[in-house]
Amino acid sequence: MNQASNEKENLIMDGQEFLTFILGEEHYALDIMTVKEIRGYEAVTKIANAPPFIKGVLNLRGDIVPIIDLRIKFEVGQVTYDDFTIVIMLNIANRVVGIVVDGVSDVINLSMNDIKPAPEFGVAFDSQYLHGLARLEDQMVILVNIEALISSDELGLYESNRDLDIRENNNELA
Amino acid sequence: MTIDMSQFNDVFFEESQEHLDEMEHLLMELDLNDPDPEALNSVFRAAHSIKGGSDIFGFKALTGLTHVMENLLDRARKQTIKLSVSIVDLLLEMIDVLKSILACYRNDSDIDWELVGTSTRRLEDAVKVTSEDEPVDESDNEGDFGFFESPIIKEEVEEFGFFEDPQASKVSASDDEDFGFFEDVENKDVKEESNDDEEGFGFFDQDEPALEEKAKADDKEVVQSNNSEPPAEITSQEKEPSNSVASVVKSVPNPVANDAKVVEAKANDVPATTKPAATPVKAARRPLKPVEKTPESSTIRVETSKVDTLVNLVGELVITQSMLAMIEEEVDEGVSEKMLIALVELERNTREIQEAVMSIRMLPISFVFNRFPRLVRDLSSKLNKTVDLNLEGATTEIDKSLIEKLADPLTHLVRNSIDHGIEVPEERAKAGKTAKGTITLKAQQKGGSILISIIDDGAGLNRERILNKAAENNIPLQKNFQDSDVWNLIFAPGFSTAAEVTDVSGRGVGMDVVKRNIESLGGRIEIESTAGQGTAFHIHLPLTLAIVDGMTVDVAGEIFVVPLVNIIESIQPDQTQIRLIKNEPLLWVRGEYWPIIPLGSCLSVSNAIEDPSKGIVVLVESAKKRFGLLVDDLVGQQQVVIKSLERHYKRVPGVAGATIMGDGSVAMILDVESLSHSVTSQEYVQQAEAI
Repeated sequence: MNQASNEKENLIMDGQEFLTFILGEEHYALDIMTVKEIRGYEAVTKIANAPPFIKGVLNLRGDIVPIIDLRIKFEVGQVTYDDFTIVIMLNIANRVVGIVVDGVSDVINLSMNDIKPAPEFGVAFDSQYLHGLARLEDQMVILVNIEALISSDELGLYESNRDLDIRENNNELA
Repeated sequence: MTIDMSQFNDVFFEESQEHLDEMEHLLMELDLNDPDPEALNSVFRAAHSIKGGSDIFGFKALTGLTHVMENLLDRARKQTIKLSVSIVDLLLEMIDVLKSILACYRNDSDIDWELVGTSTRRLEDAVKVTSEDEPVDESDNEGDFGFFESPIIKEEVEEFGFFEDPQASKVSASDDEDFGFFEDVENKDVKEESNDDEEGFGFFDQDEPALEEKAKADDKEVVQSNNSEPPAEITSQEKEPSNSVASVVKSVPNPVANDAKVVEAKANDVPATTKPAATPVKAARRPLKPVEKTPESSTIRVETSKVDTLVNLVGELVITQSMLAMIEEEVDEGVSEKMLIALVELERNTREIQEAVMSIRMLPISFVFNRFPRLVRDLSSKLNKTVDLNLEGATTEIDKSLIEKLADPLTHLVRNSIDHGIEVPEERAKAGKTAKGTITLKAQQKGGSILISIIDDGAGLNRERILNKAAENNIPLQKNFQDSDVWNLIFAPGFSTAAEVTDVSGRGVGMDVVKRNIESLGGRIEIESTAGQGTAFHIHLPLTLAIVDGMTVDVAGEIFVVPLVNIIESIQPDQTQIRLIKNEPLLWVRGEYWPIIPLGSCLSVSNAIEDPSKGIVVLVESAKKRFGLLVDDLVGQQQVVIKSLERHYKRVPGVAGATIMGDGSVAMILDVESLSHSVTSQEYVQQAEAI
């Protein structure tokens, strides 16, 4: 079931809008519909015994929201926090999570024809988290399947999806 | 007047569900030898409300069935028939049928008309059988409130006329007896106040609040007809002052003390403007229930999401308020004093708002517990067991969202206890126990959590059988299994030791779902079992959204909150009080050795103080262990709102939740219970060595 939904998410609609952001030297883009807001980096509260890329949690108007730093997780760019460091707040599957990036640059419109399949190597992210590549004014933009990435077991942000699925199914049975 | 009825559908579904629950509850409590007439009246009214409502909304399946049910109930409450166990059983069954029909309408699914038909016939038969004894006494009808009994709504209009006829004096007499009831419901909010037009009136008659309103009107009419007022008053009743109600009762020499008291309180505020009714009041035929027994109170239905928004906004308000407090320290002296006064006021107000808002979400756990008497009754008779159900601590308040999710796991556990736990009477007798088994459902607030226990005095879990079954299911087993480890095996998926699968339980899907459901609420479940004496399931649930009194502590600049309930005392230890056993520090205080957990290393905070004599040790107590938490410093004591970490993240060991501090930053609330797991059982060995 998971597999099926992932494939579904991989389909990109014509004219879909993407937010481009920068990690290190590379340009990435994610589906703008998942973006809740963009804000500057501010101090977070650490979570005990969490992996280093989970920076901690912060108070987003009363919600306790985890902040992850993809630069640490995928070892891209320099991990620095300054006035220009940006946090993109994402709303994925009714959960809010913030990702730390070096900057956001633009909102772009892409159609199916613009998107080339992702290479198996050479990109920090595993290809299962990518929609593909797009060329934009001499620049290569990597389209991240952010929903698959955030809810992946690899990040371990949530209890594993399979567990949740089973739980839901069981709840229905019960 | 055309109204889009569909907008009221949801309200009708909700209310009907409540009415059905209430009917079930009342029927269960009914003493068949001496049925409480008030209770029967309530059951009847509930059925009537559903009938009326369903007729208006066009839910014909409900209307037909409730109509026959109403007939039966009507006879029961007029005592023309004697209630028997079989009738109550039939009524309970009908309530189930009604519930399923209601669910069908709610989900827009097809109605099982055959079921409706057979159910209606069975009820009709019951009515026929019972009504052969005695014909319905019409005059009796008059003695009570006529319009409650009318099987067809249209008649109600005619009955208005009835109150205006010369017999009014007789009515006012009987009227008085029912006063207790009307005062009780008076608080219930009246949804439609300005409903002057006749058509609309017909509709709202179906609802209880409207009945109450009409009752008021009727009272007025009674008095007014005594004073030869024109009957036209009936349509403009809302504009009339209602003080006549009070004055009648007040001025009449009334032998019904309860009555007088209830109404008099009201009468005191209102000047009596109408002439007293001259009719003396008949002595009450039956005692009236005291007012407080009726659970109806003024309530409104609000979507929970609205309450949640409110809770969040208030949280924001609290933070803004403490920001203001910080700014106050920077302002000029002249302004500062005035501002301080205002701030103190603001602080008090926000605190009160916060408490009030929090209490909105809390409901007594009886909302879940109340379904169990029925379940136990049905199941035990089906399994030929006799089981008593004890409910304890039903007033314990718990967050509404937890209540909704608790129902299923608790039902599973209670069913299990009856099916597997409690033995059949013969076996119980052999084991030297009373033939009647007992199941106790207990809720209590324990520290920062709610503890719900399901305790039975049955056979207990069978260690051998569980181990054998585990072997069958290829679950890896260790040799020296503790009992508690063995018990936990029953939570494995597909695990059931029941010799045969019944439709009650034994399919093995139950317990693992129970465990997962409880864990998804951030709680955990424990089993205690003694062979031959019974089994107890303990469910520990966090008080999500509850406010917790906490001690804020500092560990290398990071702030943590320790729930105050866990804290025994905080001390600054002397070097002489500290012993090192195998490099683990132990603290000698109060004639005991306490293991010390350095919070810094436990929660991976670097640069925390590691020498206990340089920091502060907070002595805490969890359900099973006592130990000291080494922190750098104490910051202060304050109330904090528990926010779920799991909402957007996942459960973190050692952390019960998070809270938002005055400056808007997040602090973790420690879970002393799970921190205690890092105090290994070797502490006892160490203690022994130390002493």
